Amino acid sequence: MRDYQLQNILRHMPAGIATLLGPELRYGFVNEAMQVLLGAEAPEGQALAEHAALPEDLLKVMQEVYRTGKPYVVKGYGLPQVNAQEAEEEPAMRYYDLALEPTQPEGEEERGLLLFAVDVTAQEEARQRAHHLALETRRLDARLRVLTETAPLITFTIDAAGHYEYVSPQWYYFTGQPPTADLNAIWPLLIHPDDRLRVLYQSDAAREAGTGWNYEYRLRRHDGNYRWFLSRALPELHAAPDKPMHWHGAVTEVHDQRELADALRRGEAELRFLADSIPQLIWTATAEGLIEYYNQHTAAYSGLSPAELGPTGWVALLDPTEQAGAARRWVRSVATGEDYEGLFRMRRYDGQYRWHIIRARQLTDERGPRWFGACTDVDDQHRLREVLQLQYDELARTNRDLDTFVYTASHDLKQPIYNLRGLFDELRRSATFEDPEQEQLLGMVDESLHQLDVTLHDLAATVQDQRQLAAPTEPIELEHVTEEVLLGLRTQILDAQATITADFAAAPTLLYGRANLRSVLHNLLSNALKFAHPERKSHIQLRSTISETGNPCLVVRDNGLGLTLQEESATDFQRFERQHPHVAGAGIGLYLVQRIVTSRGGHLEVESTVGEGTAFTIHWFD
Amino acid sequence: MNHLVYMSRAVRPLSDQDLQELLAQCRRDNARDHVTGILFYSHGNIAQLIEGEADVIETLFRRIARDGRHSHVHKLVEKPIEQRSFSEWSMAFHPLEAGAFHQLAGFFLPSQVPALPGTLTIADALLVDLVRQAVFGPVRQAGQPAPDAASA
Repeated sequence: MRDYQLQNILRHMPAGIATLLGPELRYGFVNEAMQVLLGAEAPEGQALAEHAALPEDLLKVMQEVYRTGKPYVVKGYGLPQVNAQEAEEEPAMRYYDLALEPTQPEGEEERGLLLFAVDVTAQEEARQRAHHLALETRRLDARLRVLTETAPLITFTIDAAGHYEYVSPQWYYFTGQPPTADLNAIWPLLIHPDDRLRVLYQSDAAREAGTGWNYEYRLRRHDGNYRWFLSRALPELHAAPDKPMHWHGAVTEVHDQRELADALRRGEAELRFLADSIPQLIWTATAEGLIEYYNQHTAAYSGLSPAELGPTGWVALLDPTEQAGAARRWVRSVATGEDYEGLFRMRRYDGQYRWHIIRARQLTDERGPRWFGACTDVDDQHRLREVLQLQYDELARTNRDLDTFVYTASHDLKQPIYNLRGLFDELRRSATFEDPEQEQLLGMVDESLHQLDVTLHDLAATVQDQRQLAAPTEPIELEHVTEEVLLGLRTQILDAQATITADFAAAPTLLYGRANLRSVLHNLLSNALKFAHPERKSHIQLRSTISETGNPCLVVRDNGLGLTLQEESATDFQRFERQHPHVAGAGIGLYLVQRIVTSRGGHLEVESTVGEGTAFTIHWFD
Repeated sequence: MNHLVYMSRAVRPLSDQDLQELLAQCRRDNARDHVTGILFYSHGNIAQLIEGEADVIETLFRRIARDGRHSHVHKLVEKPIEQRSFSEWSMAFHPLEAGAFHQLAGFFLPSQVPALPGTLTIADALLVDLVRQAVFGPVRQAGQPAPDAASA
């Protein structure tokens, strides 16, 4: 009964128990757990080797234990779990601690083996997992180390007392300090003297308060240069949320960004300073056309602060009659992006309106369109121009009056001359002269009368030409005008028995005032005829040419008396200057030619040899 | 009496339904508070002029600035005025389906907004013209947006 109970207990034990008998290791007692291990029912008396698919080495060890009679224990021995239903699958491994105990039961001939197996699969798996975890941890640790030590920043750990526990190697590379350097002593010394106190205070204060920090300072590089760094650290709160023991942080070089930001700030500040220093009204506006900045001078001029002016207040500074138009044009400029420009009166702080040119242009870049404007005070110029215009108008009127006076006078004097001439003719016919010299006297009176007549005629012509200077230009055939002029000079040509040749092939037409051109030709030709050499027949050549600069010219060459030039190529002909006092003429001709040519934008050149002839070259345009 | 002009951006585009509700709600509230003015809306851009008693306008703007339906609220001007320039509060926008809106009180198509009254100074009228242009884009027909010169 006890035996049966014992057997029952053994049979249901969670550990595997089996007795193996004889050198063949035949199955004796095999409990359920052991049957699971063996993967099948174990019929008593069957040899273990023939029945169970146990690994070779285990069988060998069993046989050896049986032979020597010395017990043996195998720890964590893996056996593939035999599962009939899922035979085709890869069998899961199970692990056992196996105890092999040689036995010789009392009263029995045969020796045997007691096989005791405890399933330790769970422990074994846990052990293996722990092993894998250790490997993974080592791998992660290595990766973290590589990251920490190659990232372009210095990482550190500091304790609550402010002592460095760790600093990444980049600190040594950057500072050039030896690995033996005392971090706590050296680090503060490498901070720029101007930043040191602030940094130490901020770091101490943050540790005291148990918070992180974030500040910038200059750290000395191995070459002695200071570079800007950003230091950020956070307290480690896992262990003690109230009283952190460690701070972890990183120090990053921000020198270039900082320099750039400084340069930008400086640039902007300088521009603003510049805008504020200029004694003009300067402003900028958004893409919508709303003014966002007025310079200081605007406030000084208008007596209104930027806030009082507001985004559109500038328009209220203009003369009330101009405000609506200026506003309309601004709306249109903002809509189209066209430049804004206008001349407006703007009210000063004292109520005085001064003329300003308002100009604004749109700048378009990646920040979107913006407007930049300036109002320039042109009041003084404007007033000066008004005064000048007034004076000019007055002078022009006076000039016109004088012209009219001269013209009227010369015209009005003609009638008395006709009367005088008639009276003298009458006198000559009716009176008899005793003395022949008296008769000669009469002839001299005649000649003087004629000269007076010519002078008056020329005076009238001068005034007329003056008026024609403003006449419009048209393309003119030189040949036609020349023919007209020659027709008018027919008598003189016949008198002088002159030959006149013309060659206008090089520039047959000219864009000029018709009356002016006629006057120029008339004067030059009549001059040439007038100053013909008494000993030879007059020959006058007219020729059009193109100058080196591509402008048309006209050359009038004669073989007459020639001029005495005051200096080399002198072309300054004073009015009424007589070159040849013995020849009739008021000497007004060359003056007129010169005046016409220069006022039309050209000039007159003259070459002359006394007794041989003269050549005038008219450069119509310069 | 103060008036205030601001611009802002709707957080998401407003549907016809949203606009109609906004119109009805604001008409009711503004009539109660004696607030008049006009609101321009197009493609998420908002500009509004409101006028009324100084403290009413101040309170209203504080509520507007906190409204989650729009952001980037930028006050352009807030200043005393001598008299109102708008007789009521209205809205101008392009509805997707115009037909449903024609009957609604206080609604205008952007092209049909009445000319700005002469009681606005030219500087204020210019401001309204510029924000309207910023919301709806440039006006096609010339001469329509600008205030009358006689109002100076």
